[in-house]
Amino acid sequence: MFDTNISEITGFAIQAGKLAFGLVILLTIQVCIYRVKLIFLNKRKHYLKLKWRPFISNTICSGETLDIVNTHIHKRDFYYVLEEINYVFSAIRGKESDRLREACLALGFHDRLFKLLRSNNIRKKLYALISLGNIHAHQSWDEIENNLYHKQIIISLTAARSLVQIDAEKAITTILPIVLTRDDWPWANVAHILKMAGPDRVCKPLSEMIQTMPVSMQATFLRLFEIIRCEELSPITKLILDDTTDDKVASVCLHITQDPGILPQARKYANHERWHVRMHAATALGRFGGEPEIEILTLLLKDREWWVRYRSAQALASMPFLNIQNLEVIRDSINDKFAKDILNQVITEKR
Amino acid sequence: MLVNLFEYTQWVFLLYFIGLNCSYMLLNVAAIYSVSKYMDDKTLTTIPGIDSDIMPPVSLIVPAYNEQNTITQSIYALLQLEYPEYEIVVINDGSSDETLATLKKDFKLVAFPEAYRKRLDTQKIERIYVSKNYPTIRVIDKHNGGKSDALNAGINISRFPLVCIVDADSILQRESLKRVVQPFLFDSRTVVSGGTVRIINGSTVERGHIVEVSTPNKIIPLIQIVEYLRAFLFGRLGWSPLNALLIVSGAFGVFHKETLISVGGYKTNTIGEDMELIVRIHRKLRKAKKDYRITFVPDPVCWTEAPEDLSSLANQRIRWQRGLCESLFLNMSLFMNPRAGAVGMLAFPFMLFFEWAGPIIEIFGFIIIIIGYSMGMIDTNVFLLLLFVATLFGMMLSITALLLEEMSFHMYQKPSDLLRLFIAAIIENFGYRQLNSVFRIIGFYQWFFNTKRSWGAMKRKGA
Amino acid sequence: MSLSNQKEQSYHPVIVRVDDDEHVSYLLDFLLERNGYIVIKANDGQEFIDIFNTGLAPDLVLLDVMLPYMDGFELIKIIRSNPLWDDTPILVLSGCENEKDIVRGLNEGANDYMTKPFQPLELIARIKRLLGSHYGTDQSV
Repeated sequence: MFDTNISEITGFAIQAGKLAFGLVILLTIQVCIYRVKLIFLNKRKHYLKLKWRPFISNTICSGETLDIVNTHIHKRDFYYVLEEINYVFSAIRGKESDRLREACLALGFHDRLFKLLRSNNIRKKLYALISLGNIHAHQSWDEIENNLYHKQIIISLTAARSLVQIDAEKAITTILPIVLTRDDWPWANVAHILKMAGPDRVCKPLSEMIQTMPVSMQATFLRLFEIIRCEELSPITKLILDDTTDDKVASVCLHITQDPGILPQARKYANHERWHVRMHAATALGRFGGEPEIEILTLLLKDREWWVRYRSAQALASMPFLNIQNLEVIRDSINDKFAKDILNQVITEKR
Repeated sequence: MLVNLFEYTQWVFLLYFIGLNCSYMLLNVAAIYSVSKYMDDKTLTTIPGIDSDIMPPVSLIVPAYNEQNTITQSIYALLQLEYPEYEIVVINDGSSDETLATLKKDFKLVAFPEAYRKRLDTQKIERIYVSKNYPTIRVIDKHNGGKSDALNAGINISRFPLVCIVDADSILQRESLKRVVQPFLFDSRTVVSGGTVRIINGSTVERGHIVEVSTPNKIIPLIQIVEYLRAFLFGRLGWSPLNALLIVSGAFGVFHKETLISVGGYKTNTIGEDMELIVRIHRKLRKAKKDYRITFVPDPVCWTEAPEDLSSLANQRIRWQRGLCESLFLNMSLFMNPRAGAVGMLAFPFMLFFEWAGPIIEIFGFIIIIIGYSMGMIDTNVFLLLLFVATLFGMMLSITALLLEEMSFHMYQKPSDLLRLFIAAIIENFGYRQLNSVFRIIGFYQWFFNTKRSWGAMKRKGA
Repeated sequence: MSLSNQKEQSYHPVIVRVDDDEHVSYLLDFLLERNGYIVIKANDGQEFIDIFNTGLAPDLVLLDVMLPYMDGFELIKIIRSNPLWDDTPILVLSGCENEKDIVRGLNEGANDYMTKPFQPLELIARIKRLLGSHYGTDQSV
């Protein structure tokens, strides 16, 4: 196969060269097309900005909708107008945002958005979902709900968010069971959506769920509780702390609980074999403990894990009845070098 | 006989060349796919989706060696980041100038008896300071040990689960940290997330912020802009979906701290410590059969100064090539290792053949062709044709990079800037690329004959 | 019903608005101007400092926290350290609803704090209250 001559190489090179040349030309044209498009887009955006911003602001401030209501929004401008309006929706709330909502409905947004939602294009779907949520489109509830099961995380989450915006009460009963099954949803986003719905609606059903769910999911849901600031948090953590065997769950409970009644459990967990449990136990002891807890915390200052020592020292420093002099007395009474060092650091921090 | 040799060499050269370019083309296709997908996903992130309460706290690690003139400005800029909770750990790596004194004065530092945990070995730490007016700033004063050593010390002292490695002399966009942390929120398997670095030469900077993005007048930095576009847009975006990213820029990357410590932190006796770390993370996590992700955020978030003269450029490229050689050879067990997945079977061999051996083959091919030509064994037309084809392929790749940029971020708003980048994409094939290959061969040579040397007190800033 | 209230025909209070978000800024300017205030616009910390350096204190400063060049907290510190601006009311309008930030803002010397998303009517009411307490005697003239 190496029995070739120069002309064969030349032929091969020429073919490759032609291919490359063709591609270079094509790519260059493509770059130019993108650039020209960009220039026109920017001009159009500027024009739309001048036209729509006063309209939006005026609607919000006065409730009057100008003649613009009768103007037809061209298909290619629709996304831009949506962007402007959605941005404002994210910045304001209350009665004034209802005015904007009414204006959007008067402009016939709903039907257009509904059509967009049915598109297969992810981007169009997203625009539709976000906007339908913002304008509280009750009429499209079922269609949005279908998107909760969409395989793209971003679509399903946005659908959940829109439902919460439209009717939080109804949305929660639909979404919570799905949260359990969709382990691909990042919990940061779930937390955000639940928080939007408000603790009054979320906490009770959530607390019922948490006691029956598999242990592997409990830790995550407990953290949701904390972020949403549920009142049911403390009774639940106490219940769970009593009989959980899972160290992650225990450590989350100790971390988030607001219930001084867990003090006996915190004392017990201060000797746990896993360091993160000891660390959170130390924090809990500092938060709820009295003078008897000083001894346990002083012992924890000698822990082999830095974080346990640090949190124990901070726990001591946070106790309202210990001032700097008291802390210094404790520091001078211990022999362990690590314990001394860490307490010294925290005393300096406190100063 | 000699004619045959020349002929085979030409074939090898040509086939290698086409292989190289086809691989790059495949990467391009992957990159175009990721860019369009990323731009779709981004629609949502521009509309508030994530609660600021939920962004995890981050420790910024800023190593400083003899930076008395710039360090204060750099830290002020870091204080401007749009992020809910972060701390700044500055490491004075035994500077011989007034870096520490400047910091003490500008940030009202007071000594702080911190009982930190020494999880990574470092040179001796003299003292730790905390700023009185900005309590989130801490400064470590330590004996000189090079950049890796400084970073390791910073990691020891950092308090938060994510650490962000920042180069003191680069400029960050205000939303940079938010963007680069996002992969950690969207996918809990993420262990490293890297940002995109762009070149600042030619742009206008005011008090640590980019005011206008533009291209420089000098040709060397202009060509490097095209080079960076290429390297970041498809060099990294292409590998990212395969989870086979081997390079995360040392100028801006966020790491899951426990993972960083579990693989042993930064290696102190290497030159390309940032690349070596990433390759080692791949190797160790693949070996431990962990499910992990190393991701890359294509948004331009970090801006850095490119060398403007040939000697600094040469220094930089020689250093990069040595770093590459070291990183690959320290982690050779990844090579063609089926258990290492796409890293072992694709990314690692790619790096080895095209980046490590590439310059040698290229220069060797050139020499053979020139010898053959001067001995009259290759026809003038064939000679020119080969050069011409090589140039076309080079142009094709650079223009794809421009295309990706136009599809996604179009940072260069003025059409004249685009035209200049286009011209740079063409002329870089006449001289610049060949020169780079020469620099890389020097780097290769230095690595090959100096591997055993230890590196003592190393100057960090070559440019 | 319009929000506008033009009782004090003779006097239009001057408000310096500092915000870097162009959408929000547009809305704020529109809202304030509609309610009869004169708005001086600053889109980042540096632009505010330029206005500040002219020396003439406005009737109120409407301030965002996350700003380029210098954040809102620093600006409050600067405002409060200047005798001319010392008693200018500061209303912070910020995207952070973190309690820590609210406390910090008020500690640094802000007079009131609102979070985004905000209610435009409420904003105007609070501005009136701040201006009222400040110009209480002037208004009765």
